[in-house]
Amino acid sequence: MYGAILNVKFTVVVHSAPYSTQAAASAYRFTKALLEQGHDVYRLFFFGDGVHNTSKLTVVAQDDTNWQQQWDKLIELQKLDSVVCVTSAIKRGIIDEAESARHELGAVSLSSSSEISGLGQLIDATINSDRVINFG
Amino acid sequence: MSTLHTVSKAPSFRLLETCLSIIQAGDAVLFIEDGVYHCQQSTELLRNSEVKFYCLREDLIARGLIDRKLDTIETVNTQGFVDLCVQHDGIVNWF
Repeated sequence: MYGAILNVKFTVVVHSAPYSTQAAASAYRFTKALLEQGHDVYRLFFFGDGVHNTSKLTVVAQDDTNWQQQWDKLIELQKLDSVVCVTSAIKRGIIDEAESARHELGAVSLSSSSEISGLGQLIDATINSDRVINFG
Repeated sequence: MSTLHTVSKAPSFRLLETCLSIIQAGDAVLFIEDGVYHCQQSTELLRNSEVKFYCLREDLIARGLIDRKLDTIETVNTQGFVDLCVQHDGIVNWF
């Protein structure tokens, strides 16, 4: 049956911050592998502590992996739809231009490759993807 | 309708017990991250013949367990992980 499926649309949900657990690194490796195998990413969804993967205000030692930058590059290069949960994001200091202006914060921390949106985007992804996988 | 279950925490979290209590014949379990520590313990839990057990090769190697794995558990690399997701109809992640 599955022999007929040539191309599968995945949604990858990331629940963990980089450097806290292995989950974000696992999610990154999995996303790269599925793209290399010719499958598609319908959406990346960063939820809870996972929003920390989309910060552009991080500095990492030269001999360490900058996971935020790795995600940013992958999202840009592959033109992935990358959504950050608004409720999770703003209380963790992941702020885009609109939230910065609305709350008069004077700073932006969200990588430009991702966008802030709501859980509706996760529901949409659950309906429209062939597979949803969570890393936490 | 078959489901791939991933277990990503060490045996002490007892996720496998919960997972196996609801698992269906034809489902598969893939151990990833600290979940690969399940692969060196010969427990009754891993003797369910209706369920296939796999573990992620990269995570086994990272923990020095590649030569200590039970023979009954098949290893897959990340490409194999993607294939397992494609081959099953749904995915449940235990973490």
